[in-house]
Amino acid sequence: MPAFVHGKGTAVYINQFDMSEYLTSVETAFAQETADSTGFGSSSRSFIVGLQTATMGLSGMWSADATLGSDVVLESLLASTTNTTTTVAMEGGTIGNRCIIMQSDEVSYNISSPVGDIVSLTADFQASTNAESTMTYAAQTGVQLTTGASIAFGAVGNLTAVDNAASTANGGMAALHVPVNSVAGGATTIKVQHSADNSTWADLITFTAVAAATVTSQLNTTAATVNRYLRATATTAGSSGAITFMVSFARF
Amino acid sequence: MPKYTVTGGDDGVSGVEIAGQRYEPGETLEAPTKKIEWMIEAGILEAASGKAAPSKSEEG
Repeated sequence: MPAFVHGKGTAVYINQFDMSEYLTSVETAFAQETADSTGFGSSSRSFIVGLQTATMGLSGMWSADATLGSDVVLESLLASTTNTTTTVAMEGGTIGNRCIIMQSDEVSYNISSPVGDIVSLTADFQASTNAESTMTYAAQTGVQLTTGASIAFGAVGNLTAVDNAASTANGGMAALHVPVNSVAGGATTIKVQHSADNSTWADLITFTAVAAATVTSQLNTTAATVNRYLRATATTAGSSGAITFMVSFARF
Repeated sequence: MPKYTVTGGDDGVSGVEIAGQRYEPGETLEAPTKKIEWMIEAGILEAASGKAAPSKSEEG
């Protein structure tokens, strides 16, 4: 019997914000453009594959909460010239579960205020590689490498490895979201490591160190071969506090 | 055992972890070739030539 997944466990990270509590639906659309290559004498049309594209639509509840509220976050993104990093974890909270990573621009933000219902919102995003040479696709399905749960400063380290069954040769991209960070006294360095044997490990992507008590997000790419096993790892120079971070990786 | 130097990989900052021991770019380690063959092929490790950099154990 197929394993189906209920949407209630979905987690949505937008830049340094965990927007899950504000949102009620996410729709991601991947599309493949084709160009008509039909010539005279053909009996039916033929096409050649062109560019890929993706869009993401969010809907949920409007909130004017300061700093973290859905209105503050989504309105500010509309005017931003910096790409947005999004991770949608369809089964949030478990390492190895599938997710979608997207680099995008917000292209619309709508607020609905009906007389008989909660004030709601919708927002749409257009995936964009921003012409980055090592970003083959701006949106791709990948895996969660963390649970997204809080980890005390003294407990950070190597997280559970994810087995892809085989290596891949086309690179990939990794997203980091740090929505909560109370680590004090030093920076936290978070990496994605890969391995051919689940025993010896090499750094694949090293995110810029996360400063003490700082929330942030990053999206890094690699063109290198990505080995069979992946894991997230973190070290900190901090001396107190805890950090909540979501790391995900998508192979191209 | 043969000695290898951590190259840092494509980004120049990638370290490795072997048998629970962390090695940063520029450091030298000793390991059975079979165990770290994939790292050599990926260019993360290269055979130490000439005067090898001090290993973790030598640094104390």
